[in-house]
Amino acid sequence: MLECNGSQTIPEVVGIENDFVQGVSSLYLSALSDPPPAPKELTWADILAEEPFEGDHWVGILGSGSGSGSGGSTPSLDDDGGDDDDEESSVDLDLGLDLETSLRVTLPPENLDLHGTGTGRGRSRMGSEWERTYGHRKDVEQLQARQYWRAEWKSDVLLTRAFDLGDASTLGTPQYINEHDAVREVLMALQGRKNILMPFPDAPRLVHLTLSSQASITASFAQTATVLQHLRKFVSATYAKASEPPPQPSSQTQTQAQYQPHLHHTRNTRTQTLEAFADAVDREVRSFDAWCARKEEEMCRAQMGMGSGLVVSLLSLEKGIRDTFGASFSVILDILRTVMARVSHSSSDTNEKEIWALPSLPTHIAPARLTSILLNTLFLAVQEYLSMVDMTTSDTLMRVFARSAEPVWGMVGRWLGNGMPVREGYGYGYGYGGGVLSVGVGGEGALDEEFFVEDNGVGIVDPDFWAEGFGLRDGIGEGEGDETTIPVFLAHVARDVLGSGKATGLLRALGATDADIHIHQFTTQSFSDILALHTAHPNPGQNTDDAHTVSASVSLSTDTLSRVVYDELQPHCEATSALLASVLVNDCGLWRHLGAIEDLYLMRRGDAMSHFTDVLFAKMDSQQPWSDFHFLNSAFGDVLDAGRSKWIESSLVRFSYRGNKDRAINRTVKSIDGLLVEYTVPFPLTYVFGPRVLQTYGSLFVFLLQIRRAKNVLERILVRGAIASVPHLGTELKVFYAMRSKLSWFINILLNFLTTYVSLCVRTFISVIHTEVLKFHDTFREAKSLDEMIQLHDDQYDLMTSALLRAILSILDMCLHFSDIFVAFAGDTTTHDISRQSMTMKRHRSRRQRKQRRNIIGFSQSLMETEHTSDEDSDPDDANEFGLGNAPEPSYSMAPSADGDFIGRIDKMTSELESLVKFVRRGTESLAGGAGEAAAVFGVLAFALEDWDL
Amino acid sequence: MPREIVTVQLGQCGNQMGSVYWQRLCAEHGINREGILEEWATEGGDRKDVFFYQADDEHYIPRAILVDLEPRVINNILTSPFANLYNPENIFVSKDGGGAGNNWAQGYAAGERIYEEVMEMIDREAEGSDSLEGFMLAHSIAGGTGSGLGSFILERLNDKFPKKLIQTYSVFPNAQEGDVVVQPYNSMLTLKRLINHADSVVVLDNGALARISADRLHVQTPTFDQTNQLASTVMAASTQTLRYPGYMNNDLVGIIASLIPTPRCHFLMTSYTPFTSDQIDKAKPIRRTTVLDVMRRLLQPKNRMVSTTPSKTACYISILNIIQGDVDPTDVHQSLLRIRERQLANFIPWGPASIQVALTRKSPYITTNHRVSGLMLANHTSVASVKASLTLTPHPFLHTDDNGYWQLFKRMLDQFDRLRKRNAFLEQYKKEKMFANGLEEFDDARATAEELLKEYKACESPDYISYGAQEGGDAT
Repeated sequence: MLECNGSQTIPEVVGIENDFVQGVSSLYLSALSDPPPAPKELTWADILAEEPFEGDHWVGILGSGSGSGSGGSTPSLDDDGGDDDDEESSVDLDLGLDLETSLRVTLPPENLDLHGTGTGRGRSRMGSEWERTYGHRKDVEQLQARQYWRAEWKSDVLLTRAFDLGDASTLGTPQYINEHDAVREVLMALQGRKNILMPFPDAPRLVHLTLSSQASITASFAQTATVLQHLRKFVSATYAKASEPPPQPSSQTQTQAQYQPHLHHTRNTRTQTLEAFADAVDREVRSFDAWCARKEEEMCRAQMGMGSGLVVSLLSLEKGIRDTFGASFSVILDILRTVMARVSHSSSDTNEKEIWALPSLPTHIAPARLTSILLNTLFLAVQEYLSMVDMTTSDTLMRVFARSAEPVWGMVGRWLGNGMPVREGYGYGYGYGGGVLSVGVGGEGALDEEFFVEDNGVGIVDPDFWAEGFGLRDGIGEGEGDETTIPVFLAHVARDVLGSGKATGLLRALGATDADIHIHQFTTQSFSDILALHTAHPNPGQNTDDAHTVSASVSLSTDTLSRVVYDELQPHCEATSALLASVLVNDCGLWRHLGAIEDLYLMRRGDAMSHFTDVLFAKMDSQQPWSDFHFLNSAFGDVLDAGRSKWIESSLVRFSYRGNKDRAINRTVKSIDGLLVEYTVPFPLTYVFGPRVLQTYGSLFVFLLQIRRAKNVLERILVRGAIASVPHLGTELKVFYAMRSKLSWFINILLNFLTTYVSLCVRTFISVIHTEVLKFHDTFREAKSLDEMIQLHDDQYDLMTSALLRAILSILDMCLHFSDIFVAFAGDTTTHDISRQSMTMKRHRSRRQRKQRRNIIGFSQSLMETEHTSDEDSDPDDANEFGLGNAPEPSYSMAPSADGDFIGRIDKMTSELESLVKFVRRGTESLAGGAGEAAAVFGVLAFALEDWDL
Repeated sequence: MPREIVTVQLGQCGNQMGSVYWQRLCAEHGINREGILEEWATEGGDRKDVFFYQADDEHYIPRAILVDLEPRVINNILTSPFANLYNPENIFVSKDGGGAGNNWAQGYAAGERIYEEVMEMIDREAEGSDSLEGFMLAHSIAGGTGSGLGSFILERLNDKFPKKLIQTYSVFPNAQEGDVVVQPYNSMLTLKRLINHADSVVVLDNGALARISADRLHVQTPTFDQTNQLASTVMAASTQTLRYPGYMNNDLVGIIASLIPTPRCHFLMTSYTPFTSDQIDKAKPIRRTTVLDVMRRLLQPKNRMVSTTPSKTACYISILNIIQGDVDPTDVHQSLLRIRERQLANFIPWGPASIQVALTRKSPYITTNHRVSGLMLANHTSVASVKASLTLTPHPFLHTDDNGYWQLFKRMLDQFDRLRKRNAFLEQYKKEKMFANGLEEFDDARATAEELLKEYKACESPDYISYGAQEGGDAT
């Protein structure tokens, strides 16, 4: 680790020097301008001998007035860093402990005075009043005698040699200080305070070090100090940016530990995570400062003879720092720089900017993205150092990470606890929180921009609300699109969290209370608490917030952390999901509605739906308008009333017709296209059965109805031996019967396929949804699988619509024509009729009718033509596609006899049907050859259609 | 529109079969002996009003008309626990009580006498229906009442309700063990009406029923009860899709339309499996019922309720398998694949045809120990197909399996010819008005049946359609 650290720092030494001058130079400018005075004559023994307050040399010191000029060079500890007052004074007091009681008593007034008068900063210590008292003066003198930074101070080493040309070290008059003093200076420097050692070339020398070795040692410290100073500046910049009013540094550290929602309301341009990160860094820096202060204290104590002796050296200090803090700070700085680089898009201007510009950096990266970048980078660093078994660094980073993740964790907690904010109406235009539906969400505002769940502004009434109202944010605005806004440690629970929050929100909107939802306790636990619970040896008695008291390593590997997070969140997610599932199932009647939808749209409810189609078809047969809104709905209502069981609420079903009314149902089943069936799903279930789903169902319904219509028309034709026994007719009819059997076969195959297999397919999808709903691992996926189902249908319809559907519809139309022709040819006695009137109808009468109709048809050119054209309308494309000679034949209408006409028509139809079915077969086979779930289903149809030729 | 179906039970056989059938329907719909819906019968999903209507006191009453010329069987019914089920106004017993004497002509003539009374019942039932789909006739064609009166009723129904379907469940006599000497006459005369006036005839071959009893139930001489249970099982299963409507085949016209492509070929063969003790007393247990098993067994000749011979040319005109139970449609698809692979079913060459499968629910009120059961309704040419070499020696064993030499109609024709050639036993017929002036009716009936045979035979050839046309051309 040391090597690593060294390898990092050595190339930077020069740069650090520069940085140092640039960054921290202001603190030392005065020291530079004012060279340190020569050390005065004071023996090293004197200082160590606890007799510093006696001796005549004090007089001389007091007498020298040169101190006035060196005001800048004698920075009082109190004087520095006005914003860090509290801690400074505490350090001061620590030092004071070593001094005599009297001095300790007198210090505070001095401070007061300092602030009151503020004249002659360096000399103000010697206030006018106190100077008069000799005893005090003596004390001061004694203290001053130890102030090695003063010019008068004399090193124990004899340095007063004259310049000797032969001895280069006598060149100039460098000031020499003792190493323990140098160590204190370094400690001060590390705490970001003014010191005399750092601007190296002009700094006092250590007598036992060569110039270059001292430079090297100092440079290493200078680097650390610079890093720390950067971090400090970043922290204060972040604080300054964040606070309105600025948070109290001391209280901030307390409150940040436990994430407080009030921070949420502070208006800030930067993310909470960044602030939390700054706070965490601040804590670490402070702990470093405290460590330095302790070192100083130890030294002072040792100097005073309190406690055991102590050996101090610059090198041991360096080692101490390295042992205690590892590379933590430089790594944190690196992290910040990395984040900077990623956040600021244009690499040009950001390279110059330093990390403290981060809080105010203009960027178009979403806050959530920034958060995830920060957390991910941080966590990556943790892993990196963990893998190198640099536990010191990784632990520090982990602590920082834990604190930084606190805001996001809090958001997750609130999201899960409160659920999605539910707003009334259809969009942003409505105030949130004012409505009835926002029960329990309380004053919580909209979702934080930083949270990885985003509000898409869909109103709760919108059926798409569930699927689209809230979603995971995309990492938009980032060049590399592969990354999301979800911090990596939450990535695998993000969907669950999203689903659970939505479930909770929906439950609350439905009136569930906290007690119902059983908010898991994690919502009140901080992230650090949870991590602490899961680290190797959790010590319950200890305040785990204090990172230093944790003995064991707090670093967690990615897997462990993921597991911890998962274990923490999953029970809650499952609980809410299960609750929502049970609410949907039990209170909202999910199954009931699903059953009703299936019964209605897929005509699973055989009795009632057959009844309804019977009524509808009877209307069609009687040439009456069937598409009337009132007729459709009242007919359906009547059917429901007739049935004994309440399988569907008629008020929820609405039929309407928006089709083209000039397409006669007698000629083409396409006139059914315009039929719309709506099933009004009650509120929360609208999310499950969205409009697209119902639309799909609706189109399936229409298609089924078309097939049934054709089937109905076809089956009306009774195959009766009595007719066939009329000799001449019988043989001709055989052609009709063959045709009918072909059509009937095709329709049966098709209907069977649709009802059995496609319905099965649909139901499989739905049952997948059901199990999902029941398990409710992820309600979002539910919407997804619904999407898949819709997709399947769309595919199917797209494929079918293009050519197949048209071909099928042509075949269906053919059924209608065929039926017409048959009735015209054979008379309507041979049709089946379930109506009451049919019971009174007598055979002989209809026979006569048949003859009449035959005659009419035989001479009616107009009817022939209409039939012909309508046929053309229905399948011109198909005909062209497979090159059918469907062009109008002039000879057609000039056929000599009526009978010949019929036979001709049938022949023509037969060949047409042949090619249509073949076309459908080919289409189906190619569909079946495709991939995916639909292919297997089409395989069934393709298989069934093979029988056409077998 | 429940699409009601009125059942007319004629004669001894028809009424016995019918009464078992109604018992079965009651059990399946949770209706007790008094016609009252059991309290637990709430699971619903069934359509009772096809075959029942509700009286003012909520009693379910079968849409059934019971007609017999002798009182024995109907008296049995009226003293049975189910006596109160039927509407007493719908029961007709001839006042003289003499029966038809196993004579078709007598039964037919009785029809003329009792026409008004019976038709009044039928009319009343028809009027009581919202959307009458058609009639179901249960009768045998061998005796006097079922065949003679049945033929008469058939003609009249067809004339009076030309737009309604007529389906018959006709018990064909066991050619070897007939207990009526003139049964060939009766059968032939009835067959003509079945050909001309019914829309579909479900053939229940007594010989095959006996064979199944022997084979499946290990009863060499099955009781009437067991045979009737077999028959009623078939009747119930064939109406299952009407009573438990699903996506498809929930009306009779649809079923018939898909099964019967041409007018005269409307004789349907049935197979049923498994016969278990739930339905039939002392049936053998069936171990496994998968869809494939069931569908394969249905195609096996030994399970057919018509004794037929496997012939190279014989083929199916159409097949409808009604599968009851909880079945995965993909299993059905797989089974169809297997069946086609092994060519277990041959179809007509002149048109598209395939095994159609109707999946339907089971009655929730009847517990069965098998998962799947199936009924096959098939239009098969072997009902009438003829083998080249005819042997007249009846051999008892040959008819207990699928080695029967004659196909059903051919057997009937041959037996008829035997008797007719000698003008045997015709005295009783000549007594009736219809045959007083000659026996042309016999020959006419025979000709009709012969024609049917030819038509079925023609169905086996690819040019069936043109065959008809040619013949038609010759005729003109």
